[in-house]
Amino acid sequence: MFDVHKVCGRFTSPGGSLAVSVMVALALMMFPSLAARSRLAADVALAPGQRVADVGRREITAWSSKLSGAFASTDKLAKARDEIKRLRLSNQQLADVLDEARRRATASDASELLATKSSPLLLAELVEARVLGRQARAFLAEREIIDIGQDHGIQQDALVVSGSPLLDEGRNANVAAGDLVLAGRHIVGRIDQSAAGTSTLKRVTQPGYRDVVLLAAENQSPTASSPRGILEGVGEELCRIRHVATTAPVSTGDVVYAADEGGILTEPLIYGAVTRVEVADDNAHWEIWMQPRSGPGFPQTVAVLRARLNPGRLAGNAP
Amino acid sequence: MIELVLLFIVVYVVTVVQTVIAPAWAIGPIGPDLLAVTAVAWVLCRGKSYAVYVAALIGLAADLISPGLVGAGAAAFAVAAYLLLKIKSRLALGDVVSRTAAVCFVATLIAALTTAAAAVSGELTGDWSRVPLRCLGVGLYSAGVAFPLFIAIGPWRTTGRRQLGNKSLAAASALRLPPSGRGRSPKCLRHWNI
Repeated sequence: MFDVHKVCGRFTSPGGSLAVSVMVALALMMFPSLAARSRLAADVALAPGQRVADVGRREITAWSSKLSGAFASTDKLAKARDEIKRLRLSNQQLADVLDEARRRATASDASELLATKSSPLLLAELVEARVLGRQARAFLAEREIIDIGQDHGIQQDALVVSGSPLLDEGRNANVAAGDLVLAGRHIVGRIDQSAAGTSTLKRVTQPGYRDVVLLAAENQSPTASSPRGILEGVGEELCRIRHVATTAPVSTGDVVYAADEGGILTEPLIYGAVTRVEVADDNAHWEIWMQPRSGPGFPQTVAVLRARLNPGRLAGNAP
Repeated sequence: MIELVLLFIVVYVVTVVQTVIAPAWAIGPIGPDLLAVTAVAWVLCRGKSYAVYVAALIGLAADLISPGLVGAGAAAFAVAAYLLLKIKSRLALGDVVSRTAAVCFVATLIAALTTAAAAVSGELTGDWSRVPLRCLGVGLYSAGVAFPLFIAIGPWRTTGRRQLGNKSLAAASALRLPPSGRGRSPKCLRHWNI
Protein backbone atom coordinates (compact mmCIF):
# COMPACT_ATOMS: atom_id res chain seq x y z
CA MET A 1 0.00 0.00 0.00
CA PHE A 2 0.91 3.65 -0.44
CA ASP A 3 2.69 4.76 2.75
CA VAL A 4 2.33 8.55 3.21
CA HIS A 5 4.87 8.75 6.05
CA LYS A 6 7.44 6.87 4.02
CA VAL A 7 7.00 9.19 1.03
CA CYS A 8 7.15 12.30 3.25
CA GLY A 9 10.25 10.93 4.93
CA ARG A 10 11.94 10.61 1.54
CA PHE A 11 11.14 14.22 0.67
CA THR A 12 12.39 15.54 4.03
CA SER A 13 15.61 13.51 4.07
CA PRO A 14 18.73 15.48 3.02
CA GLY A 15 19.08 13.58 -0.24
CA GLY A 16 15.40 13.88 -1.12
CA SER A 17 15.25 17.58 -0.28
CA LEU A 18 18.37 18.17 -2.38
CA ALA A 19 16.79 16.41 -5.32
CA VAL A 20 13.55 18.36 -4.99
CA SER A 21 15.42 21.68 -4.62
CA VAL A 22 17.61 21.06 -7.65
CA MET A 23 14.60 20.04 -9.74
CA VAL A 24 12.68 23.17 -8.78
CA ALA A 25 15.78 25.27 -9.53
CA LEU A 26 16.10 23.69 -12.95
CA ALA A 27 12.44 24.32 -13.59
CA LEU A 28 12.92 28.00 -12.73
CA MET A 29 15.78 28.12 -15.22
CA MET A 30 13.45 26.83 -17.88
CA PHE A 31 10.97 29.67 -17.49
CA PRO A 32 12.75 33.03 -17.89
CA SER A 33 9.44 34.96 -17.92
CA LEU A 34 8.54 33.61 -14.50
CA ALA A 35 12.01 34.57 -13.26
CA ALA A 36 11.60 38.12 -14.57
CA ARG A 37 8.27 38.53 -12.78
CA SER A 38 9.80 37.14 -9.59
CA ARG A 39 12.68 39.62 -9.84
CA LEU A 40 10.22 42.49 -10.28
CA ALA A 41 8.24 41.39 -7.23
CA ALA A 42 11.43 41.04 -5.21
CA ASP A 43 12.52 44.55 -6.21
CA VAL A 44 9.17 45.98 -5.08
CA ALA A 45 9.32 44.08 -1.79
CA LEU A 46 12.90 45.08 -1.05
CA ALA A 47 12.46 48.77 -1.98
CA PRO A 48 11.27 50.02 1.46
CA GLY A 49 14.03 48.24 3.30
CA GLN A 50 16.60 49.46 0.80
CA ARG A 51 15.41 53.07 1.24
CA VAL A 52 15.72 52.80 5.02
CA ALA A 53 19.14 51.17 4.77
CA ASP A 54 20.30 53.80 2.29
CA VAL A 55 19.19 56.66 4.56
CA GLY A 56 20.89 54.99 7.53
CA ARG A 57 24.09 54.46 5.55
CA ARG A 58 24.14 58.12 4.47
CA GLU A 59 23.49 59.33 8.01
CA ILE A 60 26.28 57.16 9.41
CA THR A 61 28.66 58.31 6.68
CA ALA A 62 27.82 61.98 7.29
CA TRP A 63 28.12 61.57 11.05
CA SER A 64 31.48 59.78 10.82
CA SER A 65 32.83 62.38 8.40
CA LYS A 66 31.65 65.17 10.72
CA LEU A 67 33.28 63.44 13.67
CA SER A 68 36.58 62.90 11.88
CA GLY A 69 36.45 66.49 10.59
CA ALA A 70 35.87 67.83 14.09
CA PHE A 71 38.78 65.85 15.48
CA ALA A 72 41.00 66.94 12.61
CA SER A 73 40.10 70.65 12.95
CA THR A 74 40.65 70.63 16.73
CA ASP A 75 43.98 68.96 16.30
CA LYS A 76 44.98 71.42 13.56
CA LEU A 77 43.94 74.40 15.70
CA ALA A 78 45.98 73.21 18.67
CA LYS A 79 49.00 72.62 16.45
CA ALA A 80 48.62 76.06 14.85
CA ARG A 81 48.45 77.73 18.27
CA ASP A 82 51.55 75.90 19.42
CA GLU A 83 53.31 76.91 16.23
CA ILE A 84 52.31 80.58 16.69
CA LYS A 85 53.57 80.56 20.27
CA ARG A 86 56.83 78.93 19.24
CA LEU A 87 57.36 81.38 16.37
CA ARG A 88 56.65 84.36 18.63
CA LEU A 89 59.23 83.20 21.12
CA SER A 90 61.71 82.53 18.34
CA ASN A 91 61.11 86.01 16.88
CA GLN A 92 61.63 87.64 20.24
CA GLN A 93 64.84 85.73 20.84
CA LEU A 94 66.14 86.72 17.41
CA ALA A 95 65.19 90.34 18.07
CA ASP A 96 67.07 90.20 21.38
CA VAL A 97 70.16 88.83 19.67
CA LEU A 98 69.93 91.58 17.05
CA ASP A 99 69.51 94.31 19.68
CA GLU A 100 72.45 93.02 21.66
CA ALA A 101 74.63 92.93 18.56
CA ARG A 102 73.60 96.50 17.66
CA ARG A 103 74.23 97.71 21.20
CA ARG A 104 77.69 96.17 21.25
CA ALA A 105 78.49 97.68 17.87
CA THR A 106 77.35 101.13 19.05
CA ALA A 107 79.24 100.85 22.32
CA SER A 108 82.45 99.82 20.59
CA ASP A 109 82.10 102.73 18.15
CA ALA A 110 81.48 105.15 20.98
CA SER A 111 84.45 103.85 22.98
CA GLU A 112 86.66 104.37 19.98
CA LEU A 113 85.43 107.95 19.60
CA LEU A 114 85.64 108.94 23.30
CA ALA A 115 89.15 109.23 24.51
CA THR A 116 88.32 109.84 28.18
CA LYS A 117 85.63 108.38 30.41
CA SER A 118 83.74 110.83 32.63
CA SER A 119 83.20 110.17 36.33
CA PRO A 120 79.60 109.42 37.44
CA LEU A 121 77.37 112.25 38.61
CA LEU A 122 75.68 110.11 41.28
CA LEU A 123 77.36 107.84 43.75
CA ALA A 124 75.79 105.03 45.71
CA GLU A 125 76.00 105.20 49.45
CA LEU A 126 75.12 102.36 51.77
CA VAL A 127 73.96 103.05 55.30
CA GLU A 128 74.19 100.03 57.54
CA ALA A 129 71.18 99.57 59.82
CA ARG A 130 70.18 96.98 62.39
CA VAL A 131 66.79 95.45 62.49
CA LEU A 132 65.19 96.05 65.88
CA GLY A 133 63.45 93.21 67.60
CA ARG A 134 60.24 93.38 69.60
CA GLN A 135 62.03 93.94 72.92
CA ALA A 136 64.08 96.79 71.48
CA ARG A 137 60.91 98.36 70.10
CA ALA A 138 59.23 98.16 73.47
CA PHE A 139 62.26 99.77 75.11
CA LEU A 140 62.22 102.62 72.60
CA ALA A 141 58.48 103.04 72.93
CA GLU A 142 58.75 103.36 76.69
CA ARG A 143 61.14 106.25 76.23
CA GLU A 144 59.04 107.75 73.47
CA ILE A 145 61.94 107.57 71.06
CA ILE A 146 59.90 106.01 68.27
CA ASP A 147 58.22 108.90 66.53
CA ILE A 148 57.45 107.27 63.24
CA GLY A 149 53.96 107.77 61.98
CA GLN A 150 52.89 110.20 64.61
CA ASP A 151 52.07 112.70 61.89
CA HIS A 152 49.70 110.09 60.44
CA GLY A 153 48.11 109.20 63.78
CA ILE A 154 49.95 105.91 64.30
CA GLN A 155 50.42 105.02 67.97
CA GLN A 156 53.76 103.80 69.25
CA ASP A 157 52.23 100.70 70.70
CA ALA A 158 50.97 99.77 67.30
CA LEU A 159 54.48 100.02 65.90
CA VAL A 160 55.82 97.84 68.71
CA VAL A 161 53.52 94.99 67.80
CA SER A 162 53.58 95.70 64.09
CA GLY A 163 54.94 93.03 61.76
CA SER A 164 56.88 95.62 59.76
CA PRO A 165 60.61 95.52 60.51
CA LEU A 166 61.98 98.58 62.30
CA LEU A 167 65.49 99.85 61.48
CA ASP A 168 67.69 101.80 63.85
CA GLU A 169 68.62 104.43 61.29
CA GLY A 170 66.42 107.32 60.16
CA ARG A 171 66.55 110.86 58.98
CA ASN A 172 69.71 111.47 61.06
CA ALA A 173 71.56 109.19 58.63
CA ASN A 174 69.81 110.70 55.61
CA VAL A 175 67.57 107.62 55.29
CA ALA A 176 64.41 108.62 53.45
CA ALA A 177 61.19 106.94 52.46
CA GLY A 178 61.59 105.02 49.22
CA ASP A 179 65.23 104.07 49.70
CA LEU A 180 66.02 100.48 48.81
CA VAL A 181 66.99 98.13 51.63
CA LEU A 182 69.51 95.46 50.71
CA ALA A 183 70.91 92.26 52.09
CA GLY A 184 74.05 91.84 50.07
CA ARG A 185 73.05 92.25 46.41
CA HIS A 186 69.48 91.27 47.11
CA ILE A 187 66.65 93.71 47.66
CA VAL A 188 64.54 92.97 50.74
CA GLY A 189 62.27 96.04 50.55
CA ARG A 190 62.03 99.81 50.72
CA ILE A 191 61.95 102.36 53.53
CA ASP A 192 58.31 103.01 54.20
CA GLN A 193 58.48 105.77 56.80
CA SER A 194 61.49 107.54 58.20
CA ALA A 195 61.80 109.32 61.54
CA ALA A 196 64.71 110.99 63.29
CA GLY A 197 66.43 107.83 64.50
CA THR A 198 64.34 104.98 63.18
CA SER A 199 62.56 103.92 60.04
CA THR A 200 60.14 101.25 58.99
CA LEU A 201 60.55 98.89 56.11
CA LYS A 202 58.02 97.68 53.54
CA ARG A 203 59.09 94.22 52.47
CA VAL A 204 58.98 93.00 48.86
CA THR A 205 56.21 90.56 49.63
CA GLN A 206 53.93 93.06 51.42
CA PRO A 207 50.82 94.31 49.64
CA GLY A 208 51.38 97.69 48.07
CA TYR A 209 55.00 97.09 47.20
CA ARG A 210 55.59 97.84 43.51
CA ASP A 211 58.68 98.24 41.37
CA VAL A 212 59.76 98.00 37.77
CA VAL A 213 61.85 94.90 37.13
CA LEU A 214 63.86 93.30 34.34
CA LEU A 215 64.00 89.57 33.67
CA ALA A 216 67.06 87.78 32.33
CA ALA A 217 68.28 84.24 32.06
CA GLU A 218 70.31 82.90 34.96
CA ASN A 219 73.72 83.29 33.32
CA GLN A 220 72.99 86.58 31.51
CA SER A 221 72.98 90.18 32.64
CA PRO A 222 69.86 92.26 32.02
CA THR A 223 69.92 94.54 28.99
CA ALA A 224 67.70 97.34 27.76
CA SER A 225 65.80 94.82 25.64
CA SER A 226 65.23 92.36 28.48
CA PRO A 227 61.58 91.66 29.34
CA ARG A 228 60.27 94.41 31.60
CA GLY A 229 57.38 94.11 34.06
CA ILE A 230 55.87 95.38 37.29
CA LEU A 231 56.68 93.54 40.52
CA GLU A 232 53.87 93.50 43.08
CA GLY A 233 53.77 92.22 46.63
CA VAL A 234 50.52 90.37 47.32
CA GLY A 235 50.99 89.45 50.96
CA GLU A 236 52.12 85.90 50.23
CA GLU A 237 55.43 84.15 50.04
CA LEU A 238 55.67 84.74 46.29
CA CYS A 239 55.50 88.08 44.45
CA ARG A 240 53.62 88.58 41.18
CA ILE A 241 55.15 90.14 38.08
CA ARG A 242 52.65 91.64 35.64
CA HIS A 243 52.60 93.30 32.24
CA VAL A 244 55.18 91.04 30.61
CA ALA A 245 54.01 90.25 27.09
CA THR A 246 53.74 86.61 26.07
CA THR A 247 56.03 87.41 23.17
CA ALA A 248 58.87 87.90 25.69
CA PRO A 249 61.00 84.82 26.41
CA VAL A 250 60.42 83.99 30.07
CA SER A 251 60.99 80.72 31.84
CA THR A 252 61.31 79.44 35.37
CA GLY A 253 64.72 80.09 36.86
CA ASP A 254 65.09 83.50 35.21
CA VAL A 255 66.54 86.13 37.53
CA VAL A 256 64.51 89.26 38.37
CA TYR A 257 66.52 92.48 38.54
CA ALA A 258 65.58 95.98 39.67
CA ALA A 259 65.22 98.18 36.61
CA ASP A 260 65.42 101.72 37.96
CA GLU A 261 68.84 101.70 39.59
CA GLY A 262 70.78 102.41 36.41
CA GLY A 263 73.30 105.22 36.74
CA ILE A 264 73.85 104.67 40.46
CA LEU A 265 75.18 101.12 40.61
CA THR A 266 77.45 99.32 38.18
CA GLU A 267 75.96 95.92 39.00
CA PRO A 268 72.21 95.29 38.89
CA LEU A 269 70.36 94.47 42.11
CA ILE A 270 68.48 91.21 42.37
CA TYR A 271 64.94 90.71 43.59
CA GLY A 272 64.64 86.97 43.18
CA ALA A 273 64.01 84.16 40.70
CA VAL A 274 61.01 83.19 38.62
CA THR A 275 59.36 80.07 40.02
CA ARG A 276 56.16 79.84 38.02
CA VAL A 277 55.15 81.05 34.55
CA GLU A 278 51.59 80.70 33.31
CA VAL A 279 49.51 82.11 30.54
CA ALA A 280 45.76 82.02 30.20
CA ASP A 281 44.04 81.51 26.84
CA ASP A 282 43.68 84.70 24.82
CA ASN A 283 45.79 86.61 27.36
CA ALA A 284 48.57 88.78 25.96
CA HIS A 285 50.61 88.79 29.20
CA TRP A 286 52.40 86.16 31.22
CA GLU A 287 51.34 85.43 34.77
CA ILE A 288 54.73 85.25 36.52
CA TRP A 289 55.45 84.41 40.16
CA MET A 290 58.78 85.18 41.82
CA GLN A 291 60.47 83.80 44.90
CA PRO A 292 62.38 86.61 46.69
CA ARG A 293 66.04 85.79 47.26
CA SER A 294 65.87 87.30 50.73
CA GLY A 295 63.79 84.33 51.77
CA PRO A 296 61.07 84.11 54.39
CA GLY A 297 63.41 85.04 57.28
CA PHE A 298 64.89 88.44 57.81
CA PRO A 299 68.58 89.39 58.29
CA GLN A 300 69.83 91.03 61.48
CA THR A 301 71.65 93.75 59.57
CA VAL A 302 70.66 95.42 56.32
CA ALA A 303 72.00 98.23 54.18
CA VAL A 304 69.97 101.19 53.02
CA LEU A 305 70.92 102.35 49.56
CA ARG A 306 70.81 106.07 48.91
CA ALA A 307 72.23 108.19 46.13
CA ARG A 308 74.35 111.28 46.63
CA LEU A 309 75.94 113.71 44.26
CA ASN A 310 79.51 113.12 43.20
CA PRO A 311 81.55 115.91 44.93
CA GLY A 312 84.22 115.65 42.25
CA ARG A 313 81.70 116.40 39.50
CA LEU A 314 80.29 119.28 41.54
CA ALA A 315 83.76 120.73 42.02
CA GLY A 316 84.49 120.28 38.30
CA ASN A 317 81.27 122.05 37.30
CA ALA A 318 81.87 124.96 39.67
CA PRO A 319 82.92 128.14 37.94
CA MET B 1 5.90 28.85 12.50
CA ILE B 2 7.86 31.28 14.65
CA GLU B 3 11.03 29.92 13.09
CA LEU B 4 9.72 30.58 9.61
CA VAL B 5 8.71 34.16 10.46
CA LEU B 6 12.10 34.74 12.06
CA LEU B 7 13.78 33.23 9.01
CA PHE B 8 11.79 35.52 6.67
CA ILE B 9 12.75 38.63 8.66
CA VAL B 10 16.42 37.64 8.82
CA VAL B 11 16.59 36.86 5.10
CA TYR B 12 14.83 40.14 4.25
CA VAL B 13 17.23 42.20 6.36
CA VAL B 14 20.30 40.36 5.07
CA THR B 15 19.10 40.77 1.47
CA VAL B 16 18.68 44.50 2.00
CA VAL B 17 22.14 44.77 3.56
CA GLN B 18 23.59 42.67 0.73
CA THR B 19 22.15 45.03 -1.90
CA VAL B 20 22.74 48.40 -0.17
CA ILE B 21 25.75 48.16 2.13
CA ALA B 22 27.81 45.14 1.01
CA PRO B 23 28.79 46.74 -2.35
CA ALA B 24 30.55 49.47 -0.36
CA TRP B 25 32.63 46.79 1.38
CA ALA B 26 33.73 45.13 -1.87
CA ILE B 27 37.44 44.98 -2.65
CA GLY B 28 37.49 45.03 -6.43
CA PRO B 29 35.32 42.16 -7.69
CA ILE B 30 35.41 40.40 -4.30
CA GLY B 31 32.73 41.06 -1.70
CA PRO B 32 31.15 39.18 1.17
CA ASP B 33 28.26 36.77 0.52
CA LEU B 34 26.05 37.54 3.51
CA LEU B 35 23.28 35.23 2.31
CA ALA B 36 25.75 32.32 2.31
CA VAL B 37 26.69 33.23 5.90
CA THR B 38 22.98 33.20 6.80
CA ALA B 39 22.45 29.81 5.15
CA VAL B 40 25.43 28.29 6.95
CA ALA B 41 24.28 29.70 10.28
CA TRP B 42 20.80 28.28 9.72
CA VAL B 43 22.02 24.84 8.68
CA LEU B 44 24.41 24.61 11.62
CA CYS B 45 21.88 26.01 14.08
CA ARG B 46 18.75 24.24 12.87
CA GLY B 47 20.29 21.21 11.21
CA LYS B 48 17.03 19.48 10.42
CA SER B 49 16.15 17.73 7.24
CA TYR B 50 14.34 20.71 5.71
CA ALA B 51 17.50 22.82 6.14
CA VAL B 52 18.27 22.06 2.47
CA TYR B 53 14.93 23.60 1.44
CA VAL B 54 15.66 26.66 3.57
CA ALA B 55 19.10 27.00 1.99
CA ALA B 56 17.53 26.70 -1.46
CA LEU B 57 15.06 29.48 -0.62
CA ILE B 58 17.92 31.70 0.59
CA GLY B 59 19.67 30.88 -2.66
CA LEU B 60 16.54 31.88 -4.55
CA ALA B 61 16.66 35.24 -2.77
CA ALA B 62 20.27 35.57 -3.87
CA ASP B 63 19.18 34.81 -7.45
CA LEU B 64 16.49 37.49 -7.35
CA ILE B 65 18.89 40.28 -6.32
CA SER B 66 21.60 39.39 -8.81
CA PRO B 67 21.72 39.21 -12.59
CA GLY B 68 21.88 35.87 -14.35
CA LEU B 69 19.89 32.69 -14.27
CA VAL B 70 17.21 32.43 -11.62
CA GLY B 71 17.55 29.00 -10.03
CA ALA B 72 21.31 28.58 -10.27
CA GLY B 73 21.85 30.13 -6.87
CA ALA B 74 19.04 28.04 -5.36
CA ALA B 75 20.61 24.85 -6.68
CA ALA B 76 24.07 25.92 -5.52
CA PHE B 77 22.83 26.74 -2.03
CA ALA B 78 20.97 23.42 -1.86
CA VAL B 79 24.06 21.46 -2.87
CA ALA B 80 26.22 23.38 -0.40
CA ALA B 81 23.71 22.82 2.43
CA TYR B 82 23.55 19.11 1.62
CA LEU B 83 27.34 18.80 1.74
CA LEU B 84 27.44 20.82 4.94
CA LEU B 85 24.91 18.50 6.56
CA LYS B 86 27.03 15.53 5.52
CA ILE B 87 30.14 17.18 7.01
CA LYS B 88 28.24 18.11 10.14
CA SER B 89 27.16 14.49 10.65
CA ARG B 90 30.86 13.52 10.82
CA LEU B 91 32.43 16.57 12.47
CA ALA B 92 31.20 18.50 15.50
CA LEU B 93 31.48 22.04 14.00
CA GLY B 94 30.78 23.32 17.51
CA ASP B 95 33.39 26.04 17.85
CA VAL B 96 33.65 29.40 16.17
CA VAL B 97 36.71 28.54 14.10
CA SER B 98 35.19 25.44 12.52
CA ARG B 99 31.97 27.33 11.79
CA THR B 100 33.97 30.10 10.16
CA ALA B 101 35.81 27.50 8.11
CA ALA B 102 32.42 26.08 7.10
CA VAL B 103 31.35 29.53 5.91
CA CYS B 104 34.53 29.83 3.86
CA PHE B 105 33.92 26.44 2.26
CA VAL B 106 30.24 27.05 1.53
CA ALA B 107 30.70 30.57 0.16
CA THR B 108 33.55 29.41 -2.08
CA LEU B 109 31.49 26.46 -3.31
CA ILE B 110 28.43 28.62 -4.00
CA ALA B 111 30.50 31.16 -5.92
CA ALA B 112 32.10 28.38 -7.94
CA LEU B 113 28.78 26.65 -8.72
CA THR B 114 26.98 29.87 -9.75
CA THR B 115 29.96 30.85 -11.91
CA ALA B 116 29.91 27.40 -13.52
CA ALA B 117 26.16 27.67 -14.13
CA ALA B 118 26.61 31.08 -15.74
CA ALA B 119 29.39 29.68 -17.92
CA VAL B 120 27.28 26.71 -18.99
CA SER B 121 24.34 28.95 -19.88
CA GLY B 122 26.65 31.17 -21.96
CA GLU B 123 26.21 34.26 -19.80
CA LEU B 124 29.86 34.31 -18.73
CA THR B 125 32.74 34.33 -21.18
CA GLY B 126 36.32 35.54 -21.04
CA ASP B 127 39.37 34.91 -18.86
CA TRP B 128 38.85 31.95 -16.51
CA SER B 129 42.22 32.07 -14.85
CA ARG B 130 41.11 34.43 -12.10
CA VAL B 131 37.78 32.67 -11.36
CA PRO B 132 39.16 30.22 -8.72
CA LEU B 133 40.94 33.03 -6.94
CA ARG B 134 37.82 35.18 -7.03
CA CYS B 135 35.69 32.35 -5.62
CA LEU B 136 38.24 31.74 -2.86
CA GLY B 137 38.36 35.47 -2.17
CA VAL B 138 34.57 35.55 -1.76
CA GLY B 139 34.80 32.60 0.63
CA LEU B 140 37.56 34.14 2.71
CA TYR B 141 35.84 37.53 2.82
CA SER B 142 32.57 35.94 3.90
CA ALA B 143 34.41 33.98 6.58
CA GLY B 144 36.04 37.21 7.75
CA VAL B 145 32.61 38.81 8.11
CA ALA B 146 31.16 35.73 9.77
CA PHE B 147 33.91 35.33 12.37
CA PRO B 148 33.01 38.40 14.50
CA LEU B 149 29.33 37.65 14.01
CA PHE B 150 29.77 34.13 15.36
CA ILE B 151 31.76 35.50 18.31
CA ALA B 152 29.04 38.07 18.98
CA ILE B 153 26.25 35.51 18.75
CA GLY B 154 28.16 33.11 20.98
CA PRO B 155 27.62 29.39 21.26
CA TRP B 156 24.22 28.25 20.06
CA ARG B 157 22.47 24.95 20.68
CA THR B 158 22.75 22.66 17.71
CA THR B 159 20.22 20.02 16.86
CA GLY B 160 21.09 16.51 15.77
CA ARG B 161 23.97 14.74 17.51
CA ARG B 162 24.62 16.05 21.01
CA GLN B 163 27.60 15.78 23.24
CA LEU B 164 27.00 14.03 26.55
CA GLY B 165 27.57 16.25 29.57
CA ASN B 166 29.43 15.30 32.74
CA LYS B 167 26.18 14.48 34.53
CA SER B 168 25.05 12.13 31.77
CA LEU B 169 28.45 10.47 31.64
CA ALA B 170 28.33 9.89 35.39
CA ALA B 171 24.85 8.39 35.09
CA ALA B 172 25.96 6.18 32.21
CA SER B 173 28.94 5.04 34.21
CA ALA B 174 26.71 4.18 37.17
CA LEU B 175 24.47 2.09 34.92
CA ARG B 176 27.59 0.57 33.24
CA LEU B 177 26.50 1.90 29.94
CA PRO B 178 29.08 2.97 27.35
CA PRO B 179 29.25 6.78 26.98
CA SER B 180 28.68 6.50 23.22
CA GLY B 181 25.05 5.69 23.88
CA ARG B 182 25.12 2.26 22.26
CA GLY B 183 22.95 -0.24 24.08
CA ARG B 184 20.83 2.41 25.78
CA SER B 185 17.16 1.72 25.77
CA PRO B 186 14.66 4.35 24.53
CA LYS B 187 13.42 4.59 28.10
CA CYS B 188 16.85 5.56 29.33
CA LEU B 189 17.16 8.12 26.57
CA ARG B 190 13.81 9.65 27.55
CA HIS B 191 14.86 9.62 31.21
CA TRP B 192 18.04 11.54 30.45
CA ASN B 193 16.20 13.81 28.04
CA ILE B 194 18.81 13.15 25.36
